[in-house]
Amino acid sequence: MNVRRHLFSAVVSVAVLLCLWLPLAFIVIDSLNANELLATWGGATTRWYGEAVDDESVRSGLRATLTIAGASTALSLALAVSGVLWYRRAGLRGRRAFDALTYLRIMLPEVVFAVALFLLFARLDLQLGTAAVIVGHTVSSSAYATLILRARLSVLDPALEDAAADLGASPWRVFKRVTLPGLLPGMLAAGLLAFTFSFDDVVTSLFLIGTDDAPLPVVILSKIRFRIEPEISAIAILVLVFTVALFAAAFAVVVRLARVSGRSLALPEER
Amino acid sequence: MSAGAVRLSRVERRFGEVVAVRRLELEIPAGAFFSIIGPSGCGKTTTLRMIAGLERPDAGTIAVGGTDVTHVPAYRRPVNTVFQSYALFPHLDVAANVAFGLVEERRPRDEVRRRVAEAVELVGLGGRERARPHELSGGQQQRVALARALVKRPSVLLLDEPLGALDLQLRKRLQGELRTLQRQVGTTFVYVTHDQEEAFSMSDAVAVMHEGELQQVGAPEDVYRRPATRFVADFVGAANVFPARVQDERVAGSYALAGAGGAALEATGPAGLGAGREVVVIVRPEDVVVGNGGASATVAAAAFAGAARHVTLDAGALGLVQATVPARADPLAEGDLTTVSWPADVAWTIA
Repeated sequence: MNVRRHLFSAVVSVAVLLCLWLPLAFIVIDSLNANELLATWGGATTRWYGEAVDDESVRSGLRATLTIAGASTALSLALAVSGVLWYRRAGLRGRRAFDALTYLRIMLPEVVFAVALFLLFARLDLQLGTAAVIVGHTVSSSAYATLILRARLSVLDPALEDAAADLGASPWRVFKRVTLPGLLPGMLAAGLLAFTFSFDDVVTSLFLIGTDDAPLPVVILSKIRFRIEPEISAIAILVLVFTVALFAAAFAVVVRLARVSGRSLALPEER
Repeated sequence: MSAGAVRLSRVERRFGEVVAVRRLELEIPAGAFFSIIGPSGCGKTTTLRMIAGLERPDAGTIAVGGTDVTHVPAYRRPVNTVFQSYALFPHLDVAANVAFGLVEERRPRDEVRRRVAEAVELVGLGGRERARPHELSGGQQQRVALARALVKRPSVLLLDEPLGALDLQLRKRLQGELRTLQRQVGTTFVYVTHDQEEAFSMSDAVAVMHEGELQQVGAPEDVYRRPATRFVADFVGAANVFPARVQDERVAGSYALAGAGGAALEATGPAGLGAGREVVVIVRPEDVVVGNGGASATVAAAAFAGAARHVTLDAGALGLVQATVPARADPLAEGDLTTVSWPADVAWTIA
């Protein structure tokens, strides 16, 4: 009985994992297939990677994506940091309202905010474009960042800030020398989340980009609308590699920070 | 005659409905090791935080070194604090923690380096400058907190239960070290603790607080021998409490009283208690003499406690009397008949 149950769950697990990962395997194969029509295996090539890198629409897409992701990350962090600092001193009512507004930005469908912002920009006679997309991404990114930083702040000992003030640090100096370093690991995690959210967003970008250079996911989408090319697979793989590298780097920094501050942040401390 | 190092006048602090500190009048002499004691919630930490500037009084004024600092923010006050949790900055090493306050003063680099080295040496942590707080033991962290505050050369050093988190042996050792250190640097220490023994052993003077009110200020022995209130009598040590009525004040501060069942008592006390007044007389257990004349009593319980024996005696009309006798004295067993007495000058009257 026991063995059977284990067998069953093992089969299901493997099946699910295959479904999740097989597509990835296919695009790796596609991206290396010399046969342009992808119907049969035409030998291995790196030609598509070359084409992807040289493609002007991909390049401008990447530029737009990095601009938007960078700006919306910075904006999200600024909003989240100032938000949670206020939250700490706020009364119960203020906190409730703040929480509700934060959770709503996560729970409401992205398309709702996208449409709302679209109409708002139209009504205010503001031009759609990169800036509009940055605002759109910040709506939900800043909510995630707020939750992460709120959690981080709650584990910081408030006596540390008292101690800094007691030792002669003005409120601004306390923030700079004690609060900010304490929040840093949380800011890193929140920033990473905001960045990757923006990096692969399609919906908000589609609605708000207007006539500016479209970010990469939108570029990819419009490309597959014409036809499936191996170049698309190559782009996807490049994005994948970039994202993994980004996370690996962030992880290395977090581990370093954990060692420096002597606290485990995400993981139990090694040693 | 210099003004006291710290002076609180009619200071009051409320948290919502709760009055944490009520109309506090307190003068702390310069250069003293001064303790504020009381049970948790008595307002002692709030008082300390108000002196530090981390808490604003709702009413009253606070002066440090003769200057009114009531509206001066914490970071501009000439006082520094050793926090109960130490509050060491986890992202900075020992030297950087100690240097923190000097950097805020914008001291030249050479001076910072020299004074940090001195302070680290002073608390016996030479060689640990590069360690992070989490790499240190509790006792070492406590020393870093001390060095970090003292390096600023404050006119008053505030200590909020700094030994509270340490084990007993280390506590005892650091108590001695703190006292020595205070004499050495000559800074006024204001020390908050709930441990009256700790306060007594270190302090020149103690203030006892209860439910936001100051009960008594005085030298440790005064507070112990001549408590001003029932609360102080109980808080600073075990006490036998006998309800009594004043019969006659023979000389100022010396009374004849009638105890329960009309037993005649003699006791010292504050001058001017009128005849007929209901009072209590307290006698410390170690002052009670067993088996040397006086009222007859039966041993109700006896326990050996290492250095001493704790004996409970039933003294008839007087009620139960606790006595602490030397461990080497003749052991008394339950039911033994004996006598109980005490010298008149150790009994103290509380209105």
